[in-house]
Amino acid sequence: MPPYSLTIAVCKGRVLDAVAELWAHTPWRWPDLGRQLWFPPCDNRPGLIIARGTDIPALVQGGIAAFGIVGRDILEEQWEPDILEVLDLGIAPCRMVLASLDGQWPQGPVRVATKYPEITRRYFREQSHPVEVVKLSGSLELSPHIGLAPYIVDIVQTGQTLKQHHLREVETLFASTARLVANPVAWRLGEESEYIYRIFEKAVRTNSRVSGGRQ
Amino acid sequence: MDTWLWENRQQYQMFVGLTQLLLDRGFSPLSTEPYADNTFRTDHTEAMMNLVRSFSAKEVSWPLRIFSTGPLFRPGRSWTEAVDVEWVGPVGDAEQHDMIQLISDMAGWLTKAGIAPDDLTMVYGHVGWTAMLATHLGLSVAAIENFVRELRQGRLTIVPQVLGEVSSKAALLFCPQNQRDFFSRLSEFVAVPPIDGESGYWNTKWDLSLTGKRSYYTGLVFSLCHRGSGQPLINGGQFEMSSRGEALGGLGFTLYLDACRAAVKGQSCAAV
Repeated sequence: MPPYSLTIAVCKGRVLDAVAELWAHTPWRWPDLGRQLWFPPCDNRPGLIIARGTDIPALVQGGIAAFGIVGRDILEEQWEPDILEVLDLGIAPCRMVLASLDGQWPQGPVRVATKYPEITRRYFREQSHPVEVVKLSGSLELSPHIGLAPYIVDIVQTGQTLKQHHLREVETLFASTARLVANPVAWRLGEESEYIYRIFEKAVRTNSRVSGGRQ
Repeated sequence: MDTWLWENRQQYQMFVGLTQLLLDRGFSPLSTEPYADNTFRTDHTEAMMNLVRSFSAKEVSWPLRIFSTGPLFRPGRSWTEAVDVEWVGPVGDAEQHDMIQLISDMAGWLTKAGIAPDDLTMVYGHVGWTAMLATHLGLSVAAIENFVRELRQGRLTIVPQVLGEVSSKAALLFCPQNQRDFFSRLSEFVAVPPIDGESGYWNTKWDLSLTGKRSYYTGLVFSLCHRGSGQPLINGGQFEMSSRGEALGGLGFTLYLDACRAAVKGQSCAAV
């Protein structure tokens, strides 16, 4: 199939670290990232764009990247209807949780601090429980201690950060892993997109065998 | 600025040419409100059907051939200029054939404007066949509804979840493939009359994961895709809508002028 013409947009942060490990199970060479954020497609791998998670759906929808790799948490928060979620990569696992100081379900109307207002509103609507959402962009764990909001909704990997802030999980809203998303036109038309997808599919199987479910 | 004005001219000429083609085929224009129910329109179809319903059914010469033009709001993004074409009335093989022929003529017009036919692919799906297949495989009504809802949302990861263990052969029908392979595979599960979706102006693919995003699509759905721009130029399909106890159905599509212009522009750039 090479040389490649398509590009994959990958979410910065823990997803990027996990993708670099998954990449080892593909025939592609992982570039030396440094501070560079764009690597055009070449003979031995598809192109790469390193971007913020919240920008990945727009890059894929606009056809700038044929594929994107982003956590389910981002997709649940800002679903872009004009892209396709095509593969669960099974990497960068985490959970979206509701947490508080006492770990008990709230009594009556509740204020919740979160980076994920849509997910939080949807969740409490499904529970038929009145909620006021306070949107923050970081340091959520402080909210119950400083009186901003007694509850938070946030992603956790090990739960260590919650423990350090004396917070206890009330509920898990959903489990999240990184997902491969695709531009619908690139997905349905291209032999190259199918080839790239098959490589990811195989890498996921290999990674799952190697890690033996450790994730 | 000259380039910008030239591009606007090009899009307007495209609009005039394609709407003239519709007028020549007996389609009548309708005006639909761009703002209703405290929001901007994201679709012409519902507003067009409401206008049709405002006439007594006895006053209408069925089937109706109508179209509406104007911008569609894309929440979180911007606007797109669109032409929405509807055939309203009972849909059978002949109507499907006529609609595919009309789109083929429009694709022919676009290729004259500069889009290479090799870059056009028509992808077909069929919501009714997806439901028939799922029923055949033993899925419950609720499971089928959820399956189709997830596909409409673009969550194709539902396919291996639901069909992975039931039938990997059936799961293949939810990947793009050519007409012959698709009908050969589908016939192993359900008996349906093949639809000839081919044209000299596009490559043809079938993929049951294509369901159309709107819940009013009930049968054949299609998307005319342009390889170079990564955007669909046309989306449409067979629909059914009921309101105030009255059902209306037909076959229609939306043509996105911005995407057509981008496709032509990309082709011109490539030629340069």
